[in-house]
Amino acid sequence: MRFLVKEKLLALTECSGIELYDIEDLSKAPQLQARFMLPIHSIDFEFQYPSVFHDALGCAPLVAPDERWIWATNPADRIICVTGYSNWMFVITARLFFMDIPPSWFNVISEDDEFTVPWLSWGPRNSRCFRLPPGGVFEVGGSRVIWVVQKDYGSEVRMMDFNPSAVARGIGKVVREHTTFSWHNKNPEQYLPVTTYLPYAEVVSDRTLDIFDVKLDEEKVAMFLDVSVFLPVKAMKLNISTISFNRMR
Amino acid sequence: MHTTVKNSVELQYILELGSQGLVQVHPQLPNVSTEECLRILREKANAWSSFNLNVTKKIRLPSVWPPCSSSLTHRQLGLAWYFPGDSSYKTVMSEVVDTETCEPEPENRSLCRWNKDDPIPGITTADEEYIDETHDLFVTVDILDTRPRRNSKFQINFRQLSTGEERHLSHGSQLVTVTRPRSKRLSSRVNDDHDVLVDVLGDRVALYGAAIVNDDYKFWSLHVWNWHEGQQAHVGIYFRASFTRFLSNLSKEYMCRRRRPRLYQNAISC
Repeated sequence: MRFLVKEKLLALTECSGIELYDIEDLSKAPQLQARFMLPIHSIDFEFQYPSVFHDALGCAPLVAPDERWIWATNPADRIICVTGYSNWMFVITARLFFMDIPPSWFNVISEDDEFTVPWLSWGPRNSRCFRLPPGGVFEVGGSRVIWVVQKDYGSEVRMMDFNPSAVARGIGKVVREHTTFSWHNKNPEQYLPVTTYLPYAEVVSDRTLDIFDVKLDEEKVAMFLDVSVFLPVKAMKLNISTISFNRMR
Repeated sequence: MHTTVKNSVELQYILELGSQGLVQVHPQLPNVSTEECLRILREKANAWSSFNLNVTKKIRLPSVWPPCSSSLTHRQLGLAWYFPGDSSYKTVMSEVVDTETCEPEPENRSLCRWNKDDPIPGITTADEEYIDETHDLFVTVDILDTRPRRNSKFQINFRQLSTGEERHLSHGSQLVTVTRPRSKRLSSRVNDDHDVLVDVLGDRVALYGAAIVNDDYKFWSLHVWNWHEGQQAHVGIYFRASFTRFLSNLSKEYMCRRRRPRLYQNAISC
């Protein structure tokens, strides 16, 4: 269960749905707006996206006097991630949760299920499904995902930007074509294809460092490096690098 | 149109923000012009495009264990550790480092540490907690033992992450009651279990509380209120028996174990 913004709350249910609640008016009970069904069933789905909230009072102790970065990603332009069993990861555009849901999207078959939006109504065009390699780590920030894959030489760092203008500008490798994974349910011989095609732009950077975690916002990337494997136990510590970009102030 | 935009820095700035999907969340510094803001935005967009990672700072963490929680905002990197400790207390450790000005070695930085005592008898602390390092907030939930057992009570504790002291904005711990339907009064001999989820954004807190009595009967409610005002709205939603609800702590713990395989390799080498 996570806030998306102050007025919207998301919850993952055991029946593999993402429930959207309207919580704008605190004098009323949270109002269920829609239940977006995921295409596969898992009891260990989890949200992966940072909690972002800016206001003058809350940020006052954080903002350095010379800080010039004063922007954050528009909530509707952010992405959220849902991860689950067997390293499944769904990247979903948050715009989905700000739009007026077309009535035709809802499940019209069952009157008891009036809030349910079947996967095929919303999913393929508003999400991109990945399968993380074992041992891989990833983090979400704004409209971007950074994904680290361990290699023999160190780490391969992938940055995927789901901002439509980054895709339009053709940054790095642009992926528009659909991807399809097969999910097998309880019957191991029965495979369910999961097809998604939310476009994104991808840039890859290779590092010789062993990276075990990443944090990012719109301005910076911080990478947690594990140097302990190279050092004796006595000096065993974790090292962190804060990384910014070329031509940065 | 082209000429109008070309001749207006303000219009270019607005268009650049829209293009990058950004919104201005704080006022400009007095000595920074709109033209300078535009330059910063464009340079950053180019930097992301090239994705040439240049290390500008290295710092060393104060623990061999990875932080249980971390965040990055306004160039402040928040780090928190929550050690189970022995049976009498848990150790909470945290620090917030300015990624541009901080000292690289932990002994030269300000590190906060305190011990969290076990709750008193009759109170169970849920595994669920909310940590916000940069806003110095540590939220825990206690499940109160109630008699008669018609309702379930959850006590939400708002502490300073740095000291463990109560947050002055919270007006003390706050209670949420998940009311059991009248038709479902239970014998005191029946064991029940609880699920709790909590999240905070700014001055809002959301709490999902559920009581699971057996496989075919559970009830729950969802509450959202302004914790700065100290009064939680007594407006939960829905009680539903035999209905699957939000994902529970058990699955989250499973995910935590699964996402840190390399941590355990290090522990073994130690």
